[in-house]
Amino acid sequence: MARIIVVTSGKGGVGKTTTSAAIGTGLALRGFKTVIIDFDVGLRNLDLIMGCERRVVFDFVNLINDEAKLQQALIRDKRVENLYILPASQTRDKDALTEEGVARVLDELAKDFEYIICDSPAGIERGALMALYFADEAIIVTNPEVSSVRDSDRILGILASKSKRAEENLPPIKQHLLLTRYSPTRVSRGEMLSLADVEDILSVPLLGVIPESQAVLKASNSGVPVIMDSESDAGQAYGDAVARLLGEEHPFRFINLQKNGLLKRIFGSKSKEELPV
Amino acid sequence: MAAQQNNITRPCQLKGSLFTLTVLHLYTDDLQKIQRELSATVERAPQFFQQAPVVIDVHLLGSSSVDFVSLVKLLKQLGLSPVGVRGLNDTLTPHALEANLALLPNAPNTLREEPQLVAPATTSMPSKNLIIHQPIRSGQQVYAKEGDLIVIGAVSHGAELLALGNIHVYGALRGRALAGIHGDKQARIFCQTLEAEMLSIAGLYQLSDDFLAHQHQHHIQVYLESERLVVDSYMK
Ligand SMILES: Nc1ncnc2c1ncn2[C@@H]1O[C@H](COP(=O)(O)OP(=O)(O)O)[C@@H](O)[C@H]1O
Ligand SMILES: [Mg+2]
Repeated sequence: MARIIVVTSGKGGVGKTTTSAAIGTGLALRGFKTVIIDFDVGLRNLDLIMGCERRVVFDFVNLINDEAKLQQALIRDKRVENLYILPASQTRDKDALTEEGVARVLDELAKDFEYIICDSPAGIERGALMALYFADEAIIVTNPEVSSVRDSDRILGILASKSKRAEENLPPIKQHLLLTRYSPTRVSRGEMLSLADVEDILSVPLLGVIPESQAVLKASNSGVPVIMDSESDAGQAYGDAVARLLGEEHPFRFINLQKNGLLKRIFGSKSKEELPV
Repeated sequence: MAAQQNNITRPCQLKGSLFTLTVLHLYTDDLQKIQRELSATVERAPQFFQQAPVVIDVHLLGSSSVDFVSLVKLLKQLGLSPVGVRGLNDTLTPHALEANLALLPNAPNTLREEPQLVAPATTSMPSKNLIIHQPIRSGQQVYAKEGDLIVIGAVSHGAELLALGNIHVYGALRGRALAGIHGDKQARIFCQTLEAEMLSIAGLYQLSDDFLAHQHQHHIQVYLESERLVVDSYMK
């Protein structure tokens, strides 16, 4: 049985597409046959971050309108086995996403894939509603600031009332909180909400904390999902999140202020692992 | 800070505030009997009554006429400071005004005689209360049309609770809560932590700025007292 996971947030620019690419790639690296669908019709970001923008011929809307076959629209990732991307259309608008059409495409994908990752657009309009409607699980991407937390809360309400599982009284969508662009330094200065604040307000189990990281920009500029940069803090944090999604337990990293250089200087640097990354 | 500076630039400002006042309930209009009773009380606890403000409640006197001017004089001699009167009927009102007493609204329970004990029903009746076992998120509205609303979880900013009766939140109340929405002045709101945007009972409401002093406090109840919304702890 395929698991449909929506990556959603309400607010734009918080890291949904970055997360969809990283989590999808992470699951495929673990051997699960995975497809990432870009629901952001009209913008098309996922294929850029995945580095396959020049290979797009057909898209999600073509499938919905029966203008192409699944095999024609799916883009197979060149680096990672088991990983496929279904790009969004840049020339249509979100009304192209009909409930019947989306249901039919998801049903077809479910026959072949173990994980279907839905990269949601921002907002609470049609595109976002369609991305979450059929979900079994939801990753709520939240930045540690008030407006993002509010929007996430709003989306959690919609998951609980407007999804297929809610409407048909099925077991509720499994919710995961992913706190991204987290900066312990800025939290300590009081410029950002702390992890504890966000958990307190949203009360959703924590899947991971992704630090604010240069590696993300570098990765998206070169079209490589950041999880493949296993040296980087963000890459490792996404790796932990994938492991937790699969039921493994891992301590949370990158959530505390790194000790400043003084102790390190006094005690030398015998062990590389102890250095802040 | 800004609010304080505002005050300084203005010569004065009227603001609402809440006080606990002693209420003197009159069961007779016989001033001599009243004087005897009160002198004994004042003698027992002289400190307590030093210039204590009192409200005179006359709602049990019915049609008897009270000599308010003499009553005020008597109370002042005993060291009390009468400020107002409540429970007046139309014939008594001019006399109270003559004595320079403020007219205060009736106590909410003066309409009820004795508290009624409800006998247990012989047949079992399903309760009309609504219990929600999950957090109420921003943008959601929950309405207990026929009874109390009980939420086991937090209520987010931008969420709204409505109830015919009381509202209980076993968690943080961050959104809006409107109890007694069809005018039940006995309705109350209870929550574990108060961070609300708006509180309302029987249509009387306060916004978060009005109860800033209670924001982030725990074990809070909200109720109406003399047509005013009172926010305080139910643990005191
Ligand atoms: N952990 C992070 N550290 C630094 N920048 C990030 C991080 N996550 C996302 N970003 C940046 O934020 C911007 C928005 O990310 P994106 O994934 O496109 O968000 P969304 O899909 O929610 O609109 C991008 O420029 C991306 O590089
Ligand atoms: Mg996006």
